Amino acid sequence: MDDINLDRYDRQITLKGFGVAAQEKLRNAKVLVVGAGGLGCPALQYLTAAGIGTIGVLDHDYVALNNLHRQILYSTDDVGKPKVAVAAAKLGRLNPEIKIVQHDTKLSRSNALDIIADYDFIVDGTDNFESRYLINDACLLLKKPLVFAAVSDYEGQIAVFNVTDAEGISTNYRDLFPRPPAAGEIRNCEENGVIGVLPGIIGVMQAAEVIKLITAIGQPLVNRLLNYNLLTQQSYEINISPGAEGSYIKPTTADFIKYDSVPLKEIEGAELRTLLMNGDAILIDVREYHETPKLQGENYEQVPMSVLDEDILSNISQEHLILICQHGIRSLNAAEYLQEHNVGQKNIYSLKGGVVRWKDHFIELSLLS
Amino acid sequence: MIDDHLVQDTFSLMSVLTATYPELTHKKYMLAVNKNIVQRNTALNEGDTVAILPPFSGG
Repeated sequence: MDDINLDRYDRQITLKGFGVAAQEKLRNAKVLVVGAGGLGCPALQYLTAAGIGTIGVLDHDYVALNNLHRQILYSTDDVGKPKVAVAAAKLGRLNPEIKIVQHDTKLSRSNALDIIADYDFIVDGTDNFESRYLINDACLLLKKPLVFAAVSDYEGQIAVFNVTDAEGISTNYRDLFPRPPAAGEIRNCEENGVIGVLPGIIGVMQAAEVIKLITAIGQPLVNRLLNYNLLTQQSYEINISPGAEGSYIKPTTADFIKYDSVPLKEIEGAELRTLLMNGDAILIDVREYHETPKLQGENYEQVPMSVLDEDILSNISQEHLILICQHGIRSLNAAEYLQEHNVGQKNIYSLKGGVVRWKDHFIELSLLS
Repeated sequence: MIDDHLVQDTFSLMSVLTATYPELTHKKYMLAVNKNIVQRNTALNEGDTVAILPPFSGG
Protein backbone atom coordinates (compact mmCIF):
# COMPACT_ATOMS: atom_id res chain seq x y z
CA MET A 1 0.00 0.00 0.00
CA ASP A 2 1.23 3.51 -0.87
CA ASP A 3 2.31 5.86 1.87
CA ILE A 4 -0.22 8.47 2.89
CA ASN A 5 0.25 11.79 1.14
CA LEU A 6 1.09 13.90 4.20
CA ASP A 7 0.78 17.13 2.28
CA ARG A 8 -2.75 16.49 0.95
CA TYR A 9 -4.11 15.70 4.40
CA ASP A 10 -1.80 18.04 6.33
CA ARG A 11 -4.54 20.20 7.86
CA GLN A 12 -6.45 17.28 9.35
CA ILE A 13 -3.37 15.26 10.32
CA THR A 14 -2.16 18.32 12.25
CA LEU A 15 -5.44 18.40 14.15
CA LYS A 16 -5.15 17.48 17.82
CA GLY A 17 -6.65 14.05 18.40
CA PHE A 18 -6.43 13.07 14.72
CA GLY A 19 -2.95 12.55 13.32
CA VAL A 20 -1.52 10.00 10.88
CA ALA A 21 -3.16 7.12 12.77
CA ALA A 22 -6.64 8.49 12.05
CA GLN A 23 -5.70 9.21 8.46
CA GLU A 24 -4.62 5.59 8.05
CA LYS A 25 -7.99 4.43 9.37
CA LEU A 26 -9.70 6.58 6.74
CA ARG A 27 -7.47 5.13 4.03
CA ASN A 28 -8.32 1.57 5.08
CA ALA A 29 -12.07 2.19 5.20
CA LYS A 30 -14.65 1.28 2.56
CA VAL A 31 -17.73 3.48 2.46
CA LEU A 32 -20.80 3.07 0.25
CA VAL A 33 -22.93 6.12 -0.50
CA VAL A 34 -26.36 5.08 -1.75
CA GLY A 35 -27.93 7.88 -3.79
CA ALA A 36 -25.75 10.53 -5.43
CA GLY A 37 -28.31 13.31 -4.98
CA GLY A 38 -28.89 16.17 -2.56
CA LEU A 39 -27.48 14.31 0.45
CA GLY A 40 -25.12 11.94 -1.37
CA CYS A 41 -23.21 14.58 -3.37
CA PRO A 42 -21.93 16.66 -0.45
CA ALA A 43 -21.25 13.49 1.56
CA LEU A 44 -19.26 12.08 -1.37
CA GLN A 45 -17.28 15.27 -1.90
CA TYR A 46 -16.14 15.51 1.71
CA LEU A 47 -15.50 11.78 2.11
CA THR A 48 -13.39 11.83 -1.06
CA ALA A 49 -11.48 14.89 0.05
CA ALA A 50 -10.92 13.39 3.52
CA GLY A 51 -9.14 10.40 2.00
CA ILE A 52 -11.52 7.46 2.55
CA GLY A 53 -9.62 4.65 0.80
CA THR A 54 -12.54 3.11 -1.10
CA ILE A 55 -15.80 4.90 -1.88
CA GLY A 56 -18.72 3.22 -3.62
CA VAL A 57 -21.21 5.45 -5.44
CA LEU A 58 -24.61 3.91 -6.12
CA ASP A 59 -27.31 5.54 -8.22
CA HIS A 60 -29.22 4.71 -11.39
CA ASP A 61 -30.38 8.20 -12.28
CA TYR A 62 -29.26 10.86 -14.75
CA VAL A 63 -28.31 14.44 -13.94
CA ALA A 64 -31.27 16.79 -14.42
CA LEU A 65 -31.21 20.58 -14.60
CA ASN A 66 -33.42 20.86 -11.51
CA ASN A 67 -30.87 18.81 -9.52
CA LEU A 68 -28.17 21.47 -9.83
CA HIS A 69 -29.40 23.91 -7.19
CA ARG A 70 -28.52 21.35 -4.52
CA GLN A 71 -26.35 18.67 -6.14
CA ILE A 72 -23.36 20.92 -6.69
CA LEU A 73 -21.04 18.08 -7.61
CA TYR A 74 -22.61 18.30 -11.07
CA SER A 75 -22.35 21.07 -13.68
CA THR A 76 -24.79 22.33 -16.28
CA ASP A 77 -23.04 20.45 -19.08
CA ASP A 78 -23.54 17.18 -17.14
CA VAL A 79 -27.31 17.33 -17.60
CA GLY A 80 -28.52 14.09 -19.17
CA LYS A 81 -25.42 12.10 -18.20
CA PRO A 82 -25.47 9.19 -15.71
CA LYS A 83 -24.84 10.47 -12.19
CA VAL A 84 -22.50 7.67 -11.15
CA ALA A 85 -20.11 8.17 -14.08
CA VAL A 86 -20.06 11.95 -13.69
CA ALA A 87 -19.62 11.71 -9.91
CA ALA A 88 -16.80 9.17 -10.23
CA ALA A 89 -14.95 11.31 -12.77
CA LYS A 90 -15.23 14.48 -10.69
CA LEU A 91 -14.39 12.80 -7.40
CA GLY A 92 -11.43 11.11 -9.09
CA ARG A 93 -10.07 14.53 -10.06
CA LEU A 94 -10.68 15.85 -6.54
CA ASN A 95 -8.66 12.98 -5.09
CA PRO A 96 -6.89 10.55 -7.45
CA GLU A 97 -5.30 8.77 -4.48
CA ILE A 98 -8.45 6.86 -3.52
CA LYS A 99 -10.51 4.17 -5.23
CA ILE A 100 -13.99 5.07 -6.50
CA VAL A 101 -16.28 2.13 -7.27
CA GLN A 102 -19.21 2.78 -9.60
CA HIS A 103 -22.53 1.03 -8.98
CA ASP A 104 -24.75 2.30 -11.80
CA THR A 105 -27.75 0.31 -10.65
CA LYS A 106 -30.92 0.47 -8.60
CA LEU A 107 -30.60 -1.13 -5.18
CA SER A 108 -33.08 -3.99 -4.88
CA ARG A 109 -33.85 -6.86 -2.54
CA SER A 110 -31.91 -9.17 -4.87
CA ASN A 111 -28.66 -7.15 -5.11
CA ALA A 112 -28.54 -5.18 -1.85
CA LEU A 113 -26.87 -7.80 0.33
CA ASP A 114 -24.12 -8.53 -2.21
CA ILE A 115 -23.31 -4.87 -2.78
CA ILE A 116 -23.47 -3.76 0.87
CA ALA A 117 -21.41 -6.74 2.11
CA ASP A 118 -18.30 -5.28 0.44
CA TYR A 119 -18.35 -2.09 2.53
CA ASP A 120 -17.65 -1.15 6.17
CA PHE A 121 -19.94 1.88 6.44
CA ILE A 122 -23.09 2.78 4.54
CA VAL A 123 -24.49 6.27 3.92
CA ASP A 124 -28.19 6.50 3.07
CA GLY A 125 -28.67 9.46 0.75
CA THR A 126 -31.77 8.16 -1.02
CA ASP A 127 -35.03 10.01 -1.48
CA ASN A 128 -37.78 7.42 -0.96
CA PHE A 129 -39.04 5.12 1.78
CA GLU A 130 -38.73 1.94 -0.26
CA SER A 131 -34.96 2.41 -0.59
CA ARG A 132 -34.57 3.59 2.98
CA TYR A 133 -36.24 0.49 4.43
CA LEU A 134 -34.31 -1.74 2.05
CA ILE A 135 -30.96 -0.21 3.06
CA ASN A 136 -31.95 -0.34 6.72
CA ASP A 137 -32.94 -4.01 6.53
CA ALA A 138 -29.79 -5.02 4.63
CA CYS A 139 -27.54 -3.13 7.07
CA LEU A 140 -29.42 -4.61 10.03
CA LEU A 141 -28.95 -8.12 8.66
CA LEU A 142 -25.27 -7.59 7.76
CA LYS A 143 -24.60 -5.59 10.97
CA LYS A 144 -23.21 -2.68 8.95
CA PRO A 145 -23.05 0.78 10.54
CA LEU A 146 -25.54 2.97 8.68
CA VAL A 147 -25.53 6.75 8.64
CA PHE A 148 -29.14 7.63 7.91
CA ALA A 149 -30.38 11.07 6.93
CA ALA A 150 -33.47 12.55 5.31
CA VAL A 151 -34.92 15.99 4.72
CA SER A 152 -38.40 17.47 4.49
CA ASP A 153 -39.31 21.11 3.93
CA TYR A 154 -36.83 23.06 6.05
CA GLU A 155 -35.85 20.23 8.38
CA GLY A 156 -33.48 17.30 8.36
CA GLN A 157 -33.09 14.10 10.37
CA ILE A 158 -29.83 12.24 10.90
CA ALA A 159 -28.90 9.19 12.99
CA VAL A 160 -26.38 6.35 13.16
CA PHE A 161 -27.81 2.82 13.16
CA ASN A 162 -26.42 -0.64 13.93
CA VAL A 163 -23.61 0.65 16.13
CA THR A 164 -23.65 -0.51 19.75
CA ASP A 165 -23.40 2.07 22.51
CA ALA A 166 -21.57 1.68 25.83
CA GLU A 167 -24.48 -0.41 27.15
CA GLY A 168 -24.28 -2.76 24.18
CA ILE A 169 -27.52 -1.45 22.64
CA SER A 170 -27.95 -0.76 18.95
CA THR A 171 -31.02 0.46 17.07
CA ASN A 172 -32.19 0.83 13.49
CA TYR A 173 -34.79 2.80 11.53
CA ARG A 174 -37.52 0.26 12.29
CA ASP A 175 -37.12 1.09 15.99
CA LEU A 176 -38.34 4.57 15.05
CA PHE A 177 -40.86 3.62 12.38
CA PRO A 178 -41.53 -0.14 12.26
CA ARG A 179 -43.44 0.09 8.99
CA PRO A 180 -43.10 2.38 5.97
CA PRO A 181 -45.80 5.01 5.54
CA ALA A 182 -48.46 4.30 2.94
CA ALA A 183 -47.79 5.62 -0.56
CA GLY A 184 -48.63 9.31 -0.71
CA GLU A 185 -48.84 9.70 3.07
CA ILE A 186 -45.60 11.68 3.30
CA ARG A 187 -44.72 14.19 0.63
CA ASN A 188 -41.23 14.11 -0.92
CA CYS A 189 -38.87 16.85 -2.15
CA GLU A 190 -40.21 16.57 -5.67
CA GLU A 191 -43.70 17.48 -4.48
CA ASN A 192 -42.69 19.74 -1.61
CA GLY A 193 -39.56 21.49 -2.78
CA VAL A 194 -36.32 21.94 -0.86
CA ILE A 195 -33.73 24.67 -0.39
CA GLY A 196 -30.39 23.52 -1.79
CA VAL A 197 -28.36 24.20 1.33
CA LEU A 198 -30.50 21.93 3.55
CA PRO A 199 -29.41 18.57 2.06
CA GLY A 200 -25.97 20.20 1.72
CA ILE A 201 -25.78 20.72 5.49
CA ILE A 202 -27.24 17.33 6.37
CA GLY A 203 -25.13 15.48 3.78
CA VAL A 204 -21.97 17.06 5.17
CA MET A 205 -23.14 16.03 8.66
CA GLN A 206 -23.40 12.46 7.34
CA ALA A 207 -19.80 12.65 6.10
CA ALA A 208 -18.78 13.96 9.53
CA GLU A 209 -20.48 11.02 11.26
CA VAL A 210 -18.72 8.55 8.94
CA ILE A 211 -15.34 10.14 9.67
CA LYS A 212 -16.07 10.07 13.43
CA LEU A 213 -17.10 6.42 13.29
CA ILE A 214 -14.03 5.36 11.32
CA THR A 215 -11.52 7.29 13.41
CA ALA A 216 -13.34 6.75 16.73
CA ILE A 217 -13.38 10.43 17.66
CA GLY A 218 -16.17 12.29 19.44
CA GLN A 219 -19.68 11.02 20.00
CA PRO A 220 -21.36 9.89 16.80
CA LEU A 221 -25.18 9.98 16.77
CA VAL A 222 -25.45 6.39 18.00
CA ASN A 223 -29.01 5.71 19.21
CA ARG A 224 -29.78 9.40 18.83
CA LEU A 225 -31.86 11.11 16.16
CA LEU A 226 -30.87 14.69 15.45
CA ASN A 227 -33.64 16.84 14.06
CA TYR A 228 -32.22 19.99 12.44
CA ASN A 229 -34.30 23.06 11.58
CA LEU A 230 -32.77 25.32 8.96
CA LEU A 231 -35.10 28.25 9.64
CA THR A 232 -34.18 28.54 13.30
CA GLN A 233 -30.73 26.91 13.22
CA GLN A 234 -31.93 24.83 16.13
CA SER A 235 -31.58 21.14 16.58
CA TYR A 236 -33.58 18.75 18.73
CA GLU A 237 -32.20 15.38 19.72
CA ILE A 238 -34.16 12.27 20.59
CA ASN A 239 -32.77 9.17 22.25
CA ILE A 240 -33.73 6.05 20.34
CA SER A 241 -34.38 2.80 22.16
CA PRO A 242 -35.17 -0.62 20.69
CA GLY A 243 -38.80 -1.08 19.62
CA ALA A 244 -41.21 -3.05 21.78
CA GLU A 245 -41.06 -6.83 21.39
CA GLY A 246 -42.90 -7.89 18.26
CA SER A 247 -43.13 -4.42 16.69
CA TYR A 248 -41.28 -5.85 13.69
CA ILE A 249 -39.48 -9.05 12.80
CA LYS A 250 -35.84 -9.01 11.80
CA PRO A 251 -34.86 -10.00 8.27
CA THR A 252 -32.89 -13.17 7.56
CA THR A 253 -30.71 -13.99 4.56
CA ALA A 254 -33.16 -16.69 3.51
CA ASP A 255 -36.23 -14.47 3.48
CA PHE A 256 -34.57 -11.21 2.49
CA ILE A 257 -35.98 -11.03 -1.03
CA LYS A 258 -39.53 -11.59 0.21
CA TYR A 259 -38.91 -10.11 3.64
CA ASP A 260 -41.89 -8.55 5.29
CA SER A 261 -41.40 -6.86 8.61
CA VAL A 262 -44.96 -7.25 9.72
CA PRO A 263 -45.72 -10.69 11.06
CA LEU A 264 -49.05 -12.27 10.29
CA LYS A 265 -50.75 -12.91 13.58
CA GLU A 266 -53.32 -15.40 14.65
CA ILE A 267 -55.15 -13.83 17.53
CA GLU A 268 -57.57 -14.93 20.19
CA GLY A 269 -60.65 -13.26 21.65
CA ALA A 270 -58.84 -11.05 24.16
CA GLU A 271 -56.61 -9.54 21.50
CA LEU A 272 -59.57 -9.08 19.21
CA ARG A 273 -61.27 -7.07 21.91
CA THR A 274 -58.17 -4.91 22.55
CA LEU A 275 -57.65 -4.18 18.85
CA LEU A 276 -61.25 -3.15 18.31
CA MET A 277 -61.35 -1.04 21.47
CA ASN A 278 -58.12 0.80 20.59
CA GLY A 279 -59.59 1.85 17.26
CA ASP A 280 -58.09 2.00 13.77
CA ALA A 281 -59.08 -1.65 13.33
CA ILE A 282 -61.68 -3.28 11.10
CA LEU A 283 -63.20 -6.73 11.17
CA ILE A 284 -63.35 -8.38 7.74
CA ASP A 285 -65.74 -11.31 7.60
CA VAL A 286 -64.72 -13.62 4.75
CA ARG A 287 -67.73 -15.93 5.13
CA GLU A 288 -70.23 -16.17 2.26
CA TYR A 289 -73.45 -14.16 2.55
CA HIS A 290 -75.66 -17.14 3.45
CA GLU A 291 -73.65 -18.14 6.52
CA THR A 292 -74.91 -17.50 10.03
CA PRO A 293 -74.80 -16.08 12.65
CA LYS A 294 -74.84 -12.72 10.92
CA LEU A 295 -72.68 -9.99 12.38
CA GLN A 296 -73.05 -6.25 12.12
CA GLY A 297 -71.41 -3.13 13.50
CA GLU A 298 -69.45 0.00 12.83
CA ASN A 299 -66.03 -1.47 12.14
CA TYR A 300 -67.33 -4.56 10.43
CA GLU A 301 -67.45 -5.45 6.77
CA GLN A 302 -68.32 -8.65 4.96
CA VAL A 303 -66.04 -9.52 2.02
CA PRO A 304 -66.64 -13.18 1.13
CA MET A 305 -63.66 -15.30 0.06
CA SER A 306 -65.26 -15.64 -3.39
CA VAL A 307 -64.77 -11.91 -4.06
CA LEU A 308 -61.78 -11.09 -1.84
CA ASP A 309 -58.72 -9.66 -3.59
CA GLU A 310 -55.72 -7.55 -2.65
CA ASP A 311 -57.52 -4.29 -3.52
CA ILE A 312 -58.97 -4.42 -0.04
CA LEU A 313 -55.54 -3.38 1.29
CA SER A 314 -55.72 -0.03 -0.48
CA ASN A 315 -59.47 0.44 -0.07
CA ILE A 316 -59.50 0.13 3.68
CA SER A 317 -58.15 3.01 5.70
CA GLN A 318 -57.71 1.20 9.00
CA GLU A 319 -54.22 0.06 10.04
CA HIS A 320 -55.38 -3.24 11.55
CA LEU A 321 -57.32 -5.79 9.48
CA ILE A 322 -58.78 -8.65 11.48
CA LEU A 323 -60.00 -11.43 9.24
CA ILE A 324 -62.66 -13.75 10.57
CA CYS A 325 -64.68 -16.71 9.33
CA GLN A 326 -66.67 -19.55 10.87
CA HIS A 327 -63.75 -21.57 12.34
CA GLY A 328 -60.62 -19.54 11.54
CA ILE A 329 -59.35 -21.66 8.64
CA ARG A 330 -60.52 -19.63 5.66
CA SER A 331 -59.62 -16.39 7.44
CA LEU A 332 -56.07 -17.70 7.94
CA ASN A 333 -55.79 -18.50 4.23
CA ALA A 334 -57.18 -15.08 3.38
CA ALA A 335 -54.73 -13.43 5.79
CA GLU A 336 -51.80 -15.29 4.22
CA TYR A 337 -52.97 -14.25 0.77
CA LEU A 338 -53.31 -10.59 1.77
CA GLN A 339 -49.97 -10.68 3.57
CA GLU A 340 -48.27 -11.68 0.31
CA HIS A 341 -49.64 -8.53 -1.28
CA ASN A 342 -49.11 -6.38 1.79
CA VAL A 343 -46.26 -3.98 1.15
CA GLY A 344 -45.69 -3.49 4.85
CA GLN A 345 -48.50 -1.01 5.35
CA LYS A 346 -51.08 -2.94 7.35
CA ASN A 347 -51.26 -5.28 10.28
CA ILE A 348 -53.17 -8.38 9.25
CA TYR A 349 -54.69 -10.77 11.77
CA SER A 350 -56.73 -13.92 11.63
CA LEU A 351 -59.05 -14.86 14.47
CA LYS A 352 -58.18 -18.35 15.65
CA GLY A 353 -61.29 -20.48 16.10
CA GLY A 354 -63.50 -17.99 14.29
CA VAL A 355 -66.99 -16.77 15.08
CA VAL A 356 -68.02 -20.13 16.54
CA ARG A 357 -65.34 -20.08 19.23
CA TRP A 358 -65.65 -16.43 20.22
CA LYS A 359 -69.42 -16.00 20.01
CA ASP A 360 -69.56 -14.50 23.51
CA HIS A 361 -66.97 -11.87 22.56
CA PHE A 362 -68.97 -10.86 19.51
CA ILE A 363 -72.08 -10.44 21.66
CA GLU A 364 -70.12 -8.42 24.19
CA LEU A 365 -68.70 -6.20 21.42
CA SER A 366 -72.25 -5.64 20.12
CA LEU A 367 -71.37 -7.23 16.80
CA LEU A 368 -73.84 -10.04 17.33
CA SER A 369 -77.26 -9.74 18.88
CA MET B 1 -56.62 23.50 23.39
CA ILE B 2 -56.03 20.10 24.87
CA ASP B 3 -57.67 19.30 28.19
CA ASP B 4 -54.80 18.04 30.32
CA HIS B 5 -57.11 16.08 32.61
CA LEU B 6 -57.71 13.71 29.70
CA VAL B 7 -54.02 13.30 29.00
CA GLN B 8 -52.40 11.12 31.59
CA ASP B 9 -50.27 9.02 29.30
CA THR B 10 -49.10 8.91 25.68
CA PHE B 11 -51.98 6.65 24.55
CA SER B 12 -54.56 9.11 25.81
CA LEU B 13 -52.56 11.98 24.31
CA MET B 14 -52.69 10.26 20.94
CA SER B 15 -56.47 9.79 21.19
CA VAL B 16 -56.92 13.45 22.08
CA LEU B 17 -54.60 14.50 19.24
CA THR B 18 -56.49 12.32 16.78
CA ALA B 19 -59.84 13.67 17.95
CA THR B 20 -58.56 17.25 17.66
CA TYR B 21 -56.71 16.74 14.36
CA PRO B 22 -58.52 13.93 12.49
CA GLU B 23 -55.97 14.05 9.64
CA LEU B 24 -53.46 12.50 12.07
CA THR B 25 -55.47 9.25 12.17
CA HIS B 26 -53.73 7.67 9.20
CA LYS B 27 -50.38 9.41 9.55
CA LYS B 28 -47.34 7.70 10.97
CA TYR B 29 -45.46 9.67 13.56
CA MET B 30 -43.47 8.99 16.67
CA LEU B 31 -43.67 10.59 20.06
CA ALA B 32 -40.80 11.45 22.32
CA VAL B 33 -41.25 12.37 25.96
CA ASN B 34 -38.45 14.46 27.41
CA LYS B 35 -36.29 13.58 24.40
CA ASN B 36 -36.75 9.84 24.78
CA ILE B 37 -38.60 7.93 22.10
CA VAL B 38 -41.84 6.35 23.28
CA GLN B 39 -41.94 2.61 22.60
CA ARG B 40 -44.84 1.74 24.90
CA ASN B 41 -47.54 3.68 26.72
CA THR B 42 -45.76 6.20 28.90
CA ALA B 43 -47.17 8.20 31.80
CA LEU B 44 -47.13 11.97 31.35
CA ASN B 45 -46.40 14.35 34.20
CA GLU B 46 -46.70 18.10 34.69
CA GLY B 47 -43.93 19.88 32.78
CA ASP B 48 -43.04 17.00 30.43
CA THR B 49 -42.05 17.95 26.89
CA VAL B 50 -43.62 15.85 24.15
CA ALA B 51 -42.24 15.97 20.60
CA ILE B 52 -44.12 14.65 17.59
CA LEU B 53 -41.93 13.62 14.68
CA PRO B 54 -43.00 12.33 11.27
CA PRO B 55 -40.75 10.19 9.08
CA PHE B 56 -38.88 12.12 6.36
CA SER B 57 -38.04 10.61 3.00
CA GLY B 58 -36.40 13.44 1.05
CA GLY B 59 -32.80 13.43 -0.06
